[in-house]
Amino acid sequence: MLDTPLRVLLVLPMYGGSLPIGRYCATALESLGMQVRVFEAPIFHSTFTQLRTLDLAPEHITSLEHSFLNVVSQAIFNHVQDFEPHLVLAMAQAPLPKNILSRLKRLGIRTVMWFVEDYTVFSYWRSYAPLYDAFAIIQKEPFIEELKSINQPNVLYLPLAALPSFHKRVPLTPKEQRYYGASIGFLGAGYPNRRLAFRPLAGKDFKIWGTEWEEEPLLANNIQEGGKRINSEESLKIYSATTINLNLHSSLRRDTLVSHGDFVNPRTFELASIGAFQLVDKRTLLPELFDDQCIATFSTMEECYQKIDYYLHHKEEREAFCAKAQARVLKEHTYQKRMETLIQWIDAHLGWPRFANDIAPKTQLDATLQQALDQLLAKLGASPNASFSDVIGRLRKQSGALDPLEASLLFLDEWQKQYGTKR
Amino acid sequence: MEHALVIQAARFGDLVETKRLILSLKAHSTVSLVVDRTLADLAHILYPDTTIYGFPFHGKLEANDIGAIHETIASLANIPFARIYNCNFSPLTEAFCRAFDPKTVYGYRPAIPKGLLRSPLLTMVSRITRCRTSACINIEDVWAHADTEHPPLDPSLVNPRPKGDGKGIGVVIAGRESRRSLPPTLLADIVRVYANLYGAKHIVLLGTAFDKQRSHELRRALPSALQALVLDLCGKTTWPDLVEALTGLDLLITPDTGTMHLAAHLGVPVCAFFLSSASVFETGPYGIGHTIWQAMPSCHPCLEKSPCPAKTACLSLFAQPTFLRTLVAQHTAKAVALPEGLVCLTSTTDALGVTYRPVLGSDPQKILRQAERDFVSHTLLGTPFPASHLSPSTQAELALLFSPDQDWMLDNPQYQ
Repeated sequence: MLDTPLRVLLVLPMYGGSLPIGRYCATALESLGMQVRVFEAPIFHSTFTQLRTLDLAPEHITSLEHSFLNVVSQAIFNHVQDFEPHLVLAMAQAPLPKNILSRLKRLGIRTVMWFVEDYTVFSYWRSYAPLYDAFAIIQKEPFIEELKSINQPNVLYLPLAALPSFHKRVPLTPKEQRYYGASIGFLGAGYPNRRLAFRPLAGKDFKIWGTEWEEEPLLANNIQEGGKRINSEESLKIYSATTINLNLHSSLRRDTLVSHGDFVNPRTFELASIGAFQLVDKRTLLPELFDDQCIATFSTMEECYQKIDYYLHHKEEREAFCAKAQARVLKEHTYQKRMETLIQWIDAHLGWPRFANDIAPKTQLDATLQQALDQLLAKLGASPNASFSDVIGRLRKQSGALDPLEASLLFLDEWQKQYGTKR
Repeated sequence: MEHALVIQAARFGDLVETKRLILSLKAHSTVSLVVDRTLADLAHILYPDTTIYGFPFHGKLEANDIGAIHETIASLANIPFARIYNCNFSPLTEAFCRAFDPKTVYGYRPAIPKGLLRSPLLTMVSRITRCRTSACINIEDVWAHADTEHPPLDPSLVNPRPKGDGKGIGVVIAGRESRRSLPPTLLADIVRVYANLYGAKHIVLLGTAFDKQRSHELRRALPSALQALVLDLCGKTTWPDLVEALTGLDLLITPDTGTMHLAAHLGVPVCAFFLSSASVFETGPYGIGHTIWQAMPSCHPCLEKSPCPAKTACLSLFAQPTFLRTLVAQHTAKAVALPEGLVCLTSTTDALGVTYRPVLGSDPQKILRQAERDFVSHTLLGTPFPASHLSPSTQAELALLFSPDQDWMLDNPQYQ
């Protein structure tokens, strides 16, 4: 392991489900004392989508999108040059094209994509996985073998998780309880299997939240807010207010409502972390994450309907499940744990690049200066053991005039860069 | 009076070339100056009424320097500077300037979270100097115009008119980059010519301790009568010693060096030899009446740190057998033809600052250079837009250089 805190450049996707997961990872990495810079690709998304409103032929739009992606990826590379990360962690769909990945490889910077997607749905991994130093995935075989067959031997199974500091029960006002609460609730997109599976619940106290529920007349009275997008904060209120949170993994197939797939979705961990009761469809990778004492499961929709009726009338059993699931999450399934696992795995299998700036200056300061430095660390929200580069990064973001100590530290940092390695 | 702070973190010559800015500021402000600490003594000599702060911009840092850095910045932060002039595109001065509100920093302004923004003038200069062949503005004038609130001092008043006082000839053995200096044997020939022309009683050799070998070679290459006149001060002078050695000289023979600028500051006539990467139009001696021999082969100006692919064509221009006769002819104001690629210029001034007029030979970039200079003057001083002898397409290219697309298509701020 390096002597200095790791610097991680986390590249978010422009959109999609891996976006909030990326933000949770950033929080987790910071809580582990790492220096994290987040590339905010979502800020480009609206401009990107506007290109399609230009009334141009598709080939022109494609060309413009390609040029625009070049600008975005160059911005990522400029961050790499500026920040000198040990690791570039790309979330699924992160806009890191091949040429940038090749440049990162030449620089010796570790690159990992956490592909928090179903590999049978997205296929770009076939061309991109070999370009990363390692590929972290939420599925096992045959995906692992497939990755090895395309020259990506460095595969890490890294299931999803929760961020307990965020995914926790929120207090609700009576009005919020009435608004968000229901005997049965579901938050998620209207995939074909869910539409069919939920129709029998239409007449019950059942609220459906989330997008892509258009043209579903049978469930029209259950769909809340016209199917608007629900943000992460609001999801906590829905989960907290709902007696039974249904958690049916998505499937594009209408003939198999319960898909019996492998990976476990983020909702499973988030509900468990909150301490909310959930009924989840059986997944092949679920038992190793949560045993049957932790989470109530179903294999068919008929079983699901029966269990809904049962658990609605057995509060103590619900609470027992919730407590065990929550304890399991806090112990094993946090994003902090996942990031620790990832970092340790890279350390063991790949090692880290070493940069000149990783050598922290060792200097005895006089007592007054040391005291001022301690106060500065507190002011910047940095830990007493923060690395010099972490402090400098925080200082640089300050606006207006810095105080003399802050400016002096910036000067020493630049001096070190200019002369330090030569002496 | 307002307080103004000038930060000049570069070397000897740059410190001297900050003179026009400092003198201009003194007309309305109390001036403080931060320089590399090795130059603080010189700064006191150059700018006696200025408060000088020595700072470790170069060299080695000791542990106790950390406290001194903090102390200096803290002292300066207590002074209510209305304006801070950062002369250098340097991460070190960028960090230093973060102790002040960025809006009060002129020249190179620190950006948040990092980097430096250029003033409109510096942006313009950086664009035109991408093509150094047609360089058109002296660095001293670039710095002087950093103060956009007040017109800078009349350039003809910055340095005294050069005039000898019978103390003989000074010779600067070499500059920091050896390729920009003449070899000792060739330099000895030139010294011999000027010693005879001036009837020199003394020949003072100037340089650092690193130049001692070269100074020995030069001395040995001189006729014995002249060897007896030599006083070799290489590596022996403090800043006051150097000032004393220069003062009263009839002529200083020099490459592009800090000592050359110091001589111009003192009113010592300069005869400079510019070759390789050295361009008189960028860093020539400031003032009226100095002489500069500029080698301008097609590869000029080069990057001295890159290997020369042209067998130092610039140097061979000075090594031609006729060159020494040319020196005599120029001194006696006789018309003489120069080999192609060699120009003799004299320094003069115009509204913008110092400029250089060919007296022998011709400047192949004269028209473009003047057009660029006129553009700069028009932008900075509001002088009438110049009638140009350039072709319409070249004019259009030049206009694009001064006003590139992103300046007006995007809502870019003044400092970029």
